[in-house]
Amino acid sequence: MKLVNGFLDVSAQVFLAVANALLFVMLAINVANILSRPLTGKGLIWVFPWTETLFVWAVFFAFYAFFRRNQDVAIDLLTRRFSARAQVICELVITAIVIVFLVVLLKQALVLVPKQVGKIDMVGIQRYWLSIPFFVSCFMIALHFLTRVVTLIAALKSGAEAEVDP
Amino acid sequence: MTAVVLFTLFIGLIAFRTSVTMAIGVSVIAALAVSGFSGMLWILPMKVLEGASNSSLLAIPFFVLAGNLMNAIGITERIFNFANALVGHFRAGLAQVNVLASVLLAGGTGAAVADIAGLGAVEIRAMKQRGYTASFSSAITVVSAIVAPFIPPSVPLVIYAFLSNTSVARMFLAGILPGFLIAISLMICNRYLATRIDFPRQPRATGAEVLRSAKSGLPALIAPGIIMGGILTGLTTASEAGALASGYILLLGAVLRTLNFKAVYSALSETILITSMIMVIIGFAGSMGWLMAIEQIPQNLARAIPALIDSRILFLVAIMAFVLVLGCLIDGITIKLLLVPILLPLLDAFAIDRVQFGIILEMSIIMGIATPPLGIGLFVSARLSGARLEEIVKSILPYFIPLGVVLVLLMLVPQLSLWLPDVLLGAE
Repeated sequence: MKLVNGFLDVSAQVFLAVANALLFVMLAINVANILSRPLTGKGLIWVFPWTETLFVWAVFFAFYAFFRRNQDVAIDLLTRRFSARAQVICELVITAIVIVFLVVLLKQALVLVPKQVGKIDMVGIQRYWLSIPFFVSCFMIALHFLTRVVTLIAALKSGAEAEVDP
Repeated sequence: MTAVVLFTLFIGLIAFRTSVTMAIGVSVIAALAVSGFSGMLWILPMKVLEGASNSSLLAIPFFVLAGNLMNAIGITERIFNFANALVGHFRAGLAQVNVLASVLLAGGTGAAVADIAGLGAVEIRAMKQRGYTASFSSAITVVSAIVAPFIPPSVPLVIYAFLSNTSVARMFLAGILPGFLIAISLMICNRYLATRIDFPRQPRATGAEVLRSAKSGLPALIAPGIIMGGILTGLTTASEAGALASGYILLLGAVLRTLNFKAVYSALSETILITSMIMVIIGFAGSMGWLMAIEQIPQNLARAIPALIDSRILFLVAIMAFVLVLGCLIDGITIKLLLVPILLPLLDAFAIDRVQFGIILEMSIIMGIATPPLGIGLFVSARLSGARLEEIVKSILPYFIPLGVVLVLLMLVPQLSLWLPDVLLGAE
């Protein structure tokens, strides 16, 4: 389990580093485009489609890092009134629902990817390359939640529900 | 039936501690299946992709990055010092500085929580050092951050412009007067509180001190000028203006010798993580909007509601009351994504200007950051100050009077939102 968690942590760092690099390149090419207009009298027409492509990739790579860092907003107004055991059971059910949702989402890759044919103008890559990082992130998030399920079940079995981090 | 499944499941999942992003996704998938679209579940990832590749939202990462870079390279502190030199000697001096600094920095962060996390850390530390209580320091920091989404650039207004099909430039201009109005109302409230509470006093800054702090702080204020100037003159698109402002702040950091790899990496990380959440939520909610449009839910409401409420003002009051309650429970982006597509036909039916409505909606939503139980601003400022949440809430209560007055004024006087865009861009 430690090994899996270590792999997921390192992957999250790598995904975030890639997303950061993409964002920085977006910034650099846009500044270059703006400066090139007064300096050379013409803009860099490839900047806009590349910015869109890089942005989509950055958003989707960061999607996994966001979940691995537990940064999503969740409201515990109701559940914090539950006993420790009830809280763990509740989280287990919700996590299972989320995993099913992610599996359903991943299955859609088989339908969506073949639909996304044709090259992106001035970028030159097939359109389906835009959505692949999204599905990769969804797969990693599903793994992340699976490890959570294992932790929660282990806590329930050993009666150590109170020791599970919320 | 579709709407019942969609909203009941969403609220149920949120209540049982499902993350907002996943709650939207799960309820949309369930509603699609119930409505007989189980063979079209690919709509969901498709809409996420469409949302992320929408060119009108490309400005968001650059605006957020500009604010995060300002925080990371220490420009925030310079703006605080400049505001302190200007109004620090007033009664309740640092409370007034807190408001003024939020106005000055709003042009950089454009988001209330970024304002609290960045500028708030500097403000709370300074206020505590000079004898203000931790709870009051937190309270004024949270309410002054309410200005941030109104002074351009503003991430929430970009999202509203996208959802309501209005111009970003028009929304930005519409936010300026309300932003200043909020700041003035808070400063009046501070002045009034100073007659009842013995706040610490500061000596007036000398002319040389004001000049020195202006020289240090003013370069940072050029960034919002670049953004508005670029957009209004048409020299740049909104996203290019954001990129240029971010580039300028990086250059400023290099000149000031506060730029380093760690600071830039941290700013990039914070930016892309928050942007990713926003874009994926927008994508999931896009499928929600698609489903609602197929099921004609907004159109049905547009036919039913005017039969029940015939007054424009009553309609606005009802919506704002609903949003204020919702704002205590759900974050602002989600509220906008859920409500705006439903409300657009109603706005048209009641002949309410979409730009004015956007400003009123933002005001109602943003007040939620200062309200329990889930005001995100309260949590961030409590973490920064170490004050107890209940104490902060108690200190915030008086500020709801001026904020409520501003909200009512924005509802009753459309020109507060529409005058500036009409003058500079022409009436629509």
